[in-house]
Amino acid sequence: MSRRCIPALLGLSLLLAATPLAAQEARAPEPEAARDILAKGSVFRVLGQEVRGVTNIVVAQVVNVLVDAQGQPQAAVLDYGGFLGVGRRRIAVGWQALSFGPEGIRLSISRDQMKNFPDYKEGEEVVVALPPRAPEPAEATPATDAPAAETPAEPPAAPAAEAPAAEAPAAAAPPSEPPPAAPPAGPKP
Amino acid sequence: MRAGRSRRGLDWLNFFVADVQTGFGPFVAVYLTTQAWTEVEIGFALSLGTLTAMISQLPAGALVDALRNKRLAAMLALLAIALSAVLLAALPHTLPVLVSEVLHGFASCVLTPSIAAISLALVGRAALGERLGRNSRYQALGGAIAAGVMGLVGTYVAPAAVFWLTAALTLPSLACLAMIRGEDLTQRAVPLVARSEGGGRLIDLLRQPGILVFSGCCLLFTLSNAAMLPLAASMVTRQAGDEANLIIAACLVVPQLVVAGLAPRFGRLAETRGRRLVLIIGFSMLPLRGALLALVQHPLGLVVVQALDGISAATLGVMLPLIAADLTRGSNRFNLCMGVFGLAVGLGGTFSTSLAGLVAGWLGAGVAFGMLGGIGLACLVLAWAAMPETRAPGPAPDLAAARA
Repeated sequence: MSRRCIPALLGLSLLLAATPLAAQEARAPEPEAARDILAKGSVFRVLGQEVRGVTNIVVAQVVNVLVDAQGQPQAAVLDYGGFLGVGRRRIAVGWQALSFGPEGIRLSISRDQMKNFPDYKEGEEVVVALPPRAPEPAEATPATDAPAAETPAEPPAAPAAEAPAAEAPAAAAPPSEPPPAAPPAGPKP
Repeated sequence: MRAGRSRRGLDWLNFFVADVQTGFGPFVAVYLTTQAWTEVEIGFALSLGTLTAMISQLPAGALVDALRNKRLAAMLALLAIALSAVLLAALPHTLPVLVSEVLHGFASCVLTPSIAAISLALVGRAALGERLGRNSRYQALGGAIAAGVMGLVGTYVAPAAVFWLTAALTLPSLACLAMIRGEDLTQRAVPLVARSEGGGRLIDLLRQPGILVFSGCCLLFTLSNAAMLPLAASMVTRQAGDEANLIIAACLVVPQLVVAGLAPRFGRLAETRGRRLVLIIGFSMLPLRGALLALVQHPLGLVVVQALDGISAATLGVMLPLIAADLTRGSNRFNLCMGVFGLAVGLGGTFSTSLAGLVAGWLGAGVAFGMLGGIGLACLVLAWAAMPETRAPGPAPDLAAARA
């Protein structure tokens, strides 16, 4: 090649490089994300937080929040009950049964009212617990064994075909563990 | 009694070790949930702990066999468990929790055989059954009290407080360990058979029919037993209202009290009437309990059925180290054998909860209990049909150990 090609090649590469830049300058530069400040104490963490019952004892922890297509929370999935981790189960409670504040999350349904309520199972339709409806004048007491159950149309957005949530936490440990009643021959399953 | 201080030290060592181990059960999952860990992350951490425990059963047993100073092994294991508890309480992030799980898994596999080896060295083979029964009694008392106290602490104080308390309880454990004097540990398992006769290798251990059969029994036992309490407890949570926590606490404490009452008796019975009798008594509780749990619906009835759990737990707790000592008579493989049995227990426990959870989800809790009872029946049949009597014949068991 002769030496005249070099400035031509240089010019061509500059032209090619300048073209996308020119195109970019033709579009407006992308703005960076806007920001908003939430004051401390005006918003509260939800996942993992302890939920206190009507007697102000911790009865559950929040493990998941179920929202509808508009992003409005419909229900919270709680890890409920148990003593020293033994006997816990998953239930879904309606968002209106929970109240949030600086002192924590309160659940307005009592343990007696939750008797025999079905568990929350991933991939199936969700049975949501709500505070019992106000009693009819003819009824003696508010439902102690008839918590209102609603089945919203949306299933949880988790992958289906998974085995339903195990009754005990995944501590196969343990063996474990487990629980002290297991023979002490090895680590608790 | 000459070695009185050491014996008392061993008693209370068992008590405090049971206290320390109580917090490391299903409660770890509760604690991690409150630290906003997702279910997948919690499952991974706990599975890592379980896997570590299973993998380290055999190496840890071999390690304790190799260490002449068993108290040193126990001390290091206790310190590791204390560190594991502190890591959980203070640093609930991914890496510290995984390290904590691994540490705890390995340390538990070292601690249990160490205590059994110390017991054997303290009292010798002739009195081992009764000594192990006493160990179980103190472990059960420790476990019962710790279950109650830690459950209350976890509910009313904070979940992290349970692990701080656990770490604090290792201090009295170490103090009790220090009470056991080396001079009293005179009845060591001396190899009476030369090593070259093949008394030392793992594969030779596994070839002994007694060890194979008992490992199978251990596996079936925990496969049947481990899921019964969690499944029953979640039934209690579902069916009982405000008193659910109290009932579950009773379900945890009652079997421990039964063990505390019965274990020394079983130890003596194993010496006087033989090991097979105690095994049959204990294993027969499993199918009975499975059937009763499938039929009994009332929460208070479950507490009564849990008393049967105490009988079978007392059996395995006393018999496992005792039969390990019997079958490794004459070789220095006691702890390795305990590791083999511990591995079988770990395997059974791992599959038990998953299996029962699956069956309960598809077919209901009643069928799950029936299945667990059926596995217990298989365990009973295996012990009845195939388990040899391992009690030493004759009055001087130390001298009759020419057979491996």
